[in-house]
Amino acid sequence: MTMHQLATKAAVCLLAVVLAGSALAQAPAGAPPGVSPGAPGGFPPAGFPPGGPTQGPPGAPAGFPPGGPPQGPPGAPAGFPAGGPPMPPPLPANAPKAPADPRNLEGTWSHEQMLVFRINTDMYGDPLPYNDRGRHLMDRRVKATYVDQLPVINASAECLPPGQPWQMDLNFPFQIYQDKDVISLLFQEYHGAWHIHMNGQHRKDGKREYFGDSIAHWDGNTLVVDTANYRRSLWLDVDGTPASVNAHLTFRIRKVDLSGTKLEVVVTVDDPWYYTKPWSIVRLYAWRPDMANFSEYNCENQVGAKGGVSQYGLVPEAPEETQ
Amino acid sequence: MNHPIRLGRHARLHHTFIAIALLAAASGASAAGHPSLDGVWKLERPQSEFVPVQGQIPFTEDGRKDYEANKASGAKKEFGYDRTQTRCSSPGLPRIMLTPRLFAIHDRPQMVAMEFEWNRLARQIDLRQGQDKLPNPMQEGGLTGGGGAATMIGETTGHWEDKVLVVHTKNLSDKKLLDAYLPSGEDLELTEHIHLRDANTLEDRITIQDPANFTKPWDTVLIFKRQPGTVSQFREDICLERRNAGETPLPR
Repeated sequence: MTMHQLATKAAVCLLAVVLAGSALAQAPAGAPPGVSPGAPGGFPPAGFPPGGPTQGPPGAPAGFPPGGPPQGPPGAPAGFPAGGPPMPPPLPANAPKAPADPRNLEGTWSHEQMLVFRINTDMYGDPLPYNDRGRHLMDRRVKATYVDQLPVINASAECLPPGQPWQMDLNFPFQIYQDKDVISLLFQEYHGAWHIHMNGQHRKDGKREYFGDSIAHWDGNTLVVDTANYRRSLWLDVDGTPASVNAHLTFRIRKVDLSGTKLEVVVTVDDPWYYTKPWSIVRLYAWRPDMANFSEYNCENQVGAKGGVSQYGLVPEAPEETQ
Repeated sequence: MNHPIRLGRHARLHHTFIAIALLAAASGASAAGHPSLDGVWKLERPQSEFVPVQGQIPFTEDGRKDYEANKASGAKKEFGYDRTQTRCSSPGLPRIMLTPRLFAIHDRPQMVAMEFEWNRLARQIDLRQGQDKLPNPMQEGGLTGGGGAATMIGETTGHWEDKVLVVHTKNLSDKKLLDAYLPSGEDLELTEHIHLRDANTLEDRITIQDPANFTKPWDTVLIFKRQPGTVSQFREDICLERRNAGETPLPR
């Protein structure tokens, strides 16, 4: 199997994971979410050949081939085929215009860059500043998926809210509704609902939610959102780049073109549990009024069946160290 | 650092529009002239079954048979007929309107969205007409492999008739129930007339048309009361966790 074929398979598998809850991709009875119908032997290895690689380069997780785990063809984001997954066509010329007010973020938006399976570098091209704990966890997750072919369970697989970075990286639409006290982001996938409380304070009642606790203020025309108090540690991407329950994620959200049709989001991860210093990534979202009608996402219909997610070949992850 | 913004003519007009919209919202009216449905709402009295406005539910023979079978199974606490109870599958329409929890309405010119606290579900009422209704590349044979599949929530369009939001839903899956017991056929269509009885009372009159289960269309009315606050007060509800803890996904 060529690298291109491997990467294509990885992209298809990821798309299948996302679509598992979609009414448009209801797997047949007995087929797991995220598994291509007909895939042999349960969960297909995400982008790995049968048997998996056996040797790794210096510094790579054990069992990886020279060059490390599959990253896709040169120039493509990790895990994607040349040209990437299918991307939506340009917005028709007669589409409704975005609000010109730079502080009015309302409307339908969708990630317009290709999905990054694994965040290897920050927005400046520097490697992620893992500490030993973070590196160990990431290596273990990558090995589980690509070498052992026993992917571990994460929130998304369990039909639980996967948190903002995973949710927003998917190439699926979300809508923003906004008033002076709260901004709601409603996502097509995972029943995602992110409530951003304006000019408030982090909750002090000890309750934690999967989407954390988000407070925000305007810095000029940039909405600055500080999120903390996660209920469960996050997978920041498909391969499992981690953020702990006590991470602070800051989202700087602003419109970046004169017509208001692009939304830039800079995410800063401040998490001493897994990293030696804060790091940032940047994402771009397109104004997509043509995607305003969401497809249904009903993952509970499959994951809620007897046996839960384990029946699909996913395995529980070893407990993380507690903080 | 904050900089003063010099607005062009278009932006000034837009800000004027926003100011008008805010004034309208403050007075309980939308910019389009109808009363705004914005706010947080809750069913006035909890109920798990629809009650017909007049007379009895006009069952077909098959409809009554399925209904009575569901009732009998439910009485024995055997809920295999109800994937919302057993799996937390979306209750879909119209059953989601029976949630005893809060929901918010975001009333906008081209879309009315309902955001439910219950398992974080959302419902969309598409108000776009004609050219405004662009082909959706995520559906209609696009990126996700083609639209048209019947779903729990169906396809919903709407329009305003004076102060009443008239809503039509079709393409609903028959793999769900209308309420805790009523069966749902593949030709089910719903028509809703939603309006404010007063500033704090919302009425949803639902006409149920399903020739497989009912001999004629019949109406039921739900009343919702406005709740203080915003979606800020919504709890992150995870139905599967409640179910696993022994709670009932929806009241029955």
